Amino acid sequence: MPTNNVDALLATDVPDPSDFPPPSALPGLRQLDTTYRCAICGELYDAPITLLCGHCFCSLHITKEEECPTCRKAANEGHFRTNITVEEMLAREHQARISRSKSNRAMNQTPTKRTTPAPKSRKRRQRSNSDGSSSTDIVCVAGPSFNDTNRSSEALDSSPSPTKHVKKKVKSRARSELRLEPSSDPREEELDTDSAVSKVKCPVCRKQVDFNAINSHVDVCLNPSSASTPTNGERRSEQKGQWSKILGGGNNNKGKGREKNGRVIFISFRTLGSDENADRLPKVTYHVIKDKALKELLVENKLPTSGDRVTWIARHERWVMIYNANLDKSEKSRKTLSELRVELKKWEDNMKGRKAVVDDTEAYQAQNKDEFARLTEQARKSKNPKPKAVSPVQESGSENSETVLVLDSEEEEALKI
Amino acid sequence: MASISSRRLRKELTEITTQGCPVGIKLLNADNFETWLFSIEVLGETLYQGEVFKLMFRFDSQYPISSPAVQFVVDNEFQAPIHPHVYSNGHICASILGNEWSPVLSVSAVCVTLQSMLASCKVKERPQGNDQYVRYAPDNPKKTRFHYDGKHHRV
Repeated sequence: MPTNNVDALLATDVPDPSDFPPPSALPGLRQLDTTYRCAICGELYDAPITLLCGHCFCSLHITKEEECPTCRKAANEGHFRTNITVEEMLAREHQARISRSKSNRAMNQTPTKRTTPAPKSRKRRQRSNSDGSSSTDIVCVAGPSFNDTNRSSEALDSSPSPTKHVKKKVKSRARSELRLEPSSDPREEELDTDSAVSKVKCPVCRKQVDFNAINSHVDVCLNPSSASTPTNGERRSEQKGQWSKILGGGNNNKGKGREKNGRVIFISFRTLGSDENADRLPKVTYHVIKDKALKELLVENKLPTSGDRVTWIARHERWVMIYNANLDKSEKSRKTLSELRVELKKWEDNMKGRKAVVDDTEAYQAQNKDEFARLTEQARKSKNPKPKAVSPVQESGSENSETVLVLDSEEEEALKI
Repeated sequence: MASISSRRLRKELTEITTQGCPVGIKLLNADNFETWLFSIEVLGETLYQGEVFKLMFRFDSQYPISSPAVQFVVDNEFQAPIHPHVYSNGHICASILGNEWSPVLSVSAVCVTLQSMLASCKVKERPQGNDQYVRYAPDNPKKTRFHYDGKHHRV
């Protein structure tokens, strides 16, 4: 199996933090590189998702989690948000790595000794971004959707707004290694905390708007003419109609409307953030769905219908995962559906490949004759009513035996009786 | 194109070989991405001073989403440590290997946790019902559904 061959894999180039020189030579770089990576798969973030606690993971790997894998705080999918800034950052990082790995050695030889690693990363970044458009230590390329209206122009001098919350995250993860430029303006830090949490995207004009101001902002967006004049009753009902269109036809009653709207916007964050035209695939509760319907689901998505029900479920489940994860990418870096299908096929092949397939059963039996004999012997022994207390049963070949349930407390009680 | 599990294990292996294992832990064998063997000893003044154990990790294709199967190896050379959470066949009752596994944990993180589990041991004894468990235990400890008793079994 090529995928499981260590030598083959060691030969392939799997980039990881050890590509960088050891801390003794250039302190901090490996740790810096670690912060670019999903803690689950160890790769550079692919379609990064931020959880409520602030930790970031690849969209594809976080789908089944109910708590943050890192800090174990409760998480649920409604709170997931795509992190466009990190995605952009890593797209550049990815390009930069390639050119950098070549020039790395040359850089090592430069005798300049620096005390903090941060300036280094800045320098490296500037090399990759030859235009040198920004002077911040972490050059984040602001996603097109970032348009921070709250920010005054004075903040532009050293830190463009979209970089801020990323900076903070990196800071918290790698505080020891990364000495980030301290903010010159104490208000900036405050503002930042607020804006990182409570910015929402206006579903109409797609600007980032303060969460508290979103309702009035949308009102303005939908009715530019009424920007300053108070709305009359007729207009209000008209707006309501538009609202319900946007929010999927929920009938908001007057009293709860505001709160409800707020919540709906919050829940549909991820969808709005990515693309309204591309709908996420819903998860399917497979055990209540009939074979026929399941098959239809596969056909609908132009997926193969080979294999049995279990295969179908696995295939569709995986498809939903990669399809939705793909939507968490920014529009331009998304893969096409046929690319996704190829990916699904690869995944399936890989799953099959993991099972050891014996081609020549007779040769296999002959080859492992001794082992089988030993296992049979052992099995006979363990059938013996009085086995030795410390008999090594491990490797007893009971691979497929059923789950043994051990309930310590119950057992203790049983022993007392 | 290798699977996530292989790539991730490859990264862990690279880290172990370049940066070394944690103190007291040595890599014995990692010829493939299915089974790795480590030797583990607890340094300092503990009940297990001078004892060396052999740890076996088995990975499935779902790693790191699913936990590795971890157990002490019992053979001619090695025995399982006598510990209230370790059965004589080497199976370990530790919540991080079961329901508290998190994909951000790694092989060396598990090693360190087990080290501290041994180091904090006060009484050398086998778990309750050891003989009964060992008699019917499945080969793979992941097939056992351990009951993690907050007081005794949480590591």
